[in-house]
Amino acid sequence: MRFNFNNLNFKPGSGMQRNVMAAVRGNQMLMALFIALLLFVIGGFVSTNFLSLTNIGSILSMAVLLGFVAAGQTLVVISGGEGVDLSVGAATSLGAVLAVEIMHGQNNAIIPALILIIAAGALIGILNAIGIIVARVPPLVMTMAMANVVTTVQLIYTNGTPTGHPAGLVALIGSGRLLPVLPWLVVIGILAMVLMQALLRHTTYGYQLYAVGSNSNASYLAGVRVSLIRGGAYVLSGMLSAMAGFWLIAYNNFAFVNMGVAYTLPSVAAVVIGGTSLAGGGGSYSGTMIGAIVLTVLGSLLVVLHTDEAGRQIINGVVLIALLAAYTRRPPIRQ
Amino acid sequence: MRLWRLLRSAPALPGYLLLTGAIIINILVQGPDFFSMDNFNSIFSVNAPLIMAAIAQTVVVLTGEIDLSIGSNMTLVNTIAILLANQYHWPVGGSWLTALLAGTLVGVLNGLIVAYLRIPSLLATFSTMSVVSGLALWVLPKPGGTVPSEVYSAYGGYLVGLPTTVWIIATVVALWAIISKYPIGKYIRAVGGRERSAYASGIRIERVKLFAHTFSGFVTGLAGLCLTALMASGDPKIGLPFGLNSIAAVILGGTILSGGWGGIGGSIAGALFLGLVSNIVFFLFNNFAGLIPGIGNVSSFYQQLLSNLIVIFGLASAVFTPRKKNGIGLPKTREGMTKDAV
Repeated sequence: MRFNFNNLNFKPGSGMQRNVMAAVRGNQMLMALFIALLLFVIGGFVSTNFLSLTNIGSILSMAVLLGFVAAGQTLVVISGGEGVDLSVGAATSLGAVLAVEIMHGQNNAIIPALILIIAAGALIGILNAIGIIVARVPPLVMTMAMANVVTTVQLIYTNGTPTGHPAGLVALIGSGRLLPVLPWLVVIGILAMVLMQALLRHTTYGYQLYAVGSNSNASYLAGVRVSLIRGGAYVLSGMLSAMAGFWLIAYNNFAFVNMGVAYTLPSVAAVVIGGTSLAGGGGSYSGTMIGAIVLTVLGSLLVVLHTDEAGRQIINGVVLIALLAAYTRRPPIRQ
Repeated sequence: MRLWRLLRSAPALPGYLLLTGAIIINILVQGPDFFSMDNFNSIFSVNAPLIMAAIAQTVVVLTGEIDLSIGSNMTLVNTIAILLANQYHWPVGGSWLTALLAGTLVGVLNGLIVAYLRIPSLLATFSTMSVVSGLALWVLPKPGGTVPSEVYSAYGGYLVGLPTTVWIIATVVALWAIISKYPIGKYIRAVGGRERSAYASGIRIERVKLFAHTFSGFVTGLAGLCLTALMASGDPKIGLPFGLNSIAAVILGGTILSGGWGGIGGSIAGALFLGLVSNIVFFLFNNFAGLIPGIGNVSSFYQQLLSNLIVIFGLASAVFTPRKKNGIGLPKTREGMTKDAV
């Protein structure tokens, strides 16, 4: 998928300063990986079962689900302009609800379901993009308002309780395992990582997305259609999140209204922990996946520790603050 | 024409316009009942928590930060006030003051994390939101408890001819007006406008941010107490919608999320707009839904959809805010919307 770069001479990672930046960013990804491993080891001390291949496999597939939701989030955050997409959770829920309602357990309904899910996600993304780029509503608020609309649409569509279940084949992929440590979901996650990396680093769109995120004025002068690129990030985000809903019900085997909303803010956290700066213009999807693993391991570690809901939330928050303080601090103003 | 120019330069213009529109439509769908004092009282007492939350959010947003933890902070205040009064039989005054103090402390904590640890506020307050709602759940695991009837009847009643809640809101507005007269009021806007320049002109940015978060925490505490008086019970999930709704109210009121431009007047108008929208939709469906066949049984979902759509259009209408051209060849963006990457 290579295009010619006649009118575009931008490469992330060229120039000495960028090399240093890239090294720091690489460090941040390594650091996240290190923290994930550390959390696994702590889990191993707490419960020997924690490090069993089956448990690691389960944690990884839950992390992949969060990673799917955070895929679109990564694109939106990279696109800059205070970009953040708080409608990913709602789009995921809509995808999940549509998936069970259309499939109703029939294998031959998989393709129509997929098409409709992606179309619905794209519609959410297009409406977001119109609000953000044409009406210039700040992304945070626009996507938040859109999430409310999408939630009520689900309520109207299902009358409050979705019925149906995923097709047999889909459920098999969602819960089956190639190896004990390697559920099929993780295989799909790795595939998604390769595709996203290809999109970001080997297509014109990817290059232009980084360019727009790091300096939209400069990329406009270089001939990049800034609004189109930035709007495209929101459309892709809607589509990817709706697809995440498809895999969510494949894993859980049932759907309820707003089931994806619990992923909204963790998806932002996963993106940031994975080394993508909220200011835009840098970052990677593999980092986001590692961020998703960190959050998921932390979550299941707290379950293993038998903390109640209150304790889990408190510890989750404190650890997040510690992680953020460790490596997403802004530089002091005097530098 | 001059009046229009004057209005156009006021940051809160979109908020006031939206509120005026909402009031007119509300009068149309509700009829002459709108003008009764009791109706004003109920509008203010139902919406006072959101109005206070919007004021708290505005102060933080003016410094260029954002506070997602306002909703969970209100929950914490609610649960502490209920627990101390019901389970430990503290006097109402003491338990509510303690709850207010706790809310202020959460603000201080947010300020310390944002200003001194320099974590982006979106993520920092997202984390404290988790901590604070966990604390609230620990304080009061199950909904319950009561508030003495004197308290909530006083809250819903009148004081010297005006609804009590109007007095409460007026007090906070006056407090903010006093703060704005002092240098700190200017510093808050300066830091939000351009942090670097503010630093270069000798403003201690960390202290300004800490102050803004502390004040916001205090007002959030008051919002939580208003919510407690309104609901007359405790619930560990009570404040959930207020976090994001307060941000929506701030935007509707014309305050810009990147900071430095806006004011609490617009946010109050924005919060009232959000309240009136649900009023309008309620009356619309109550009086006219019977005319459309087939939506009778699910009409509450349609009510939600309609009010959500109205909010989106309200947000989009914020394009009336004064703008300046701040990018080569880019469409005009609202003033201060793009800030130097941090």
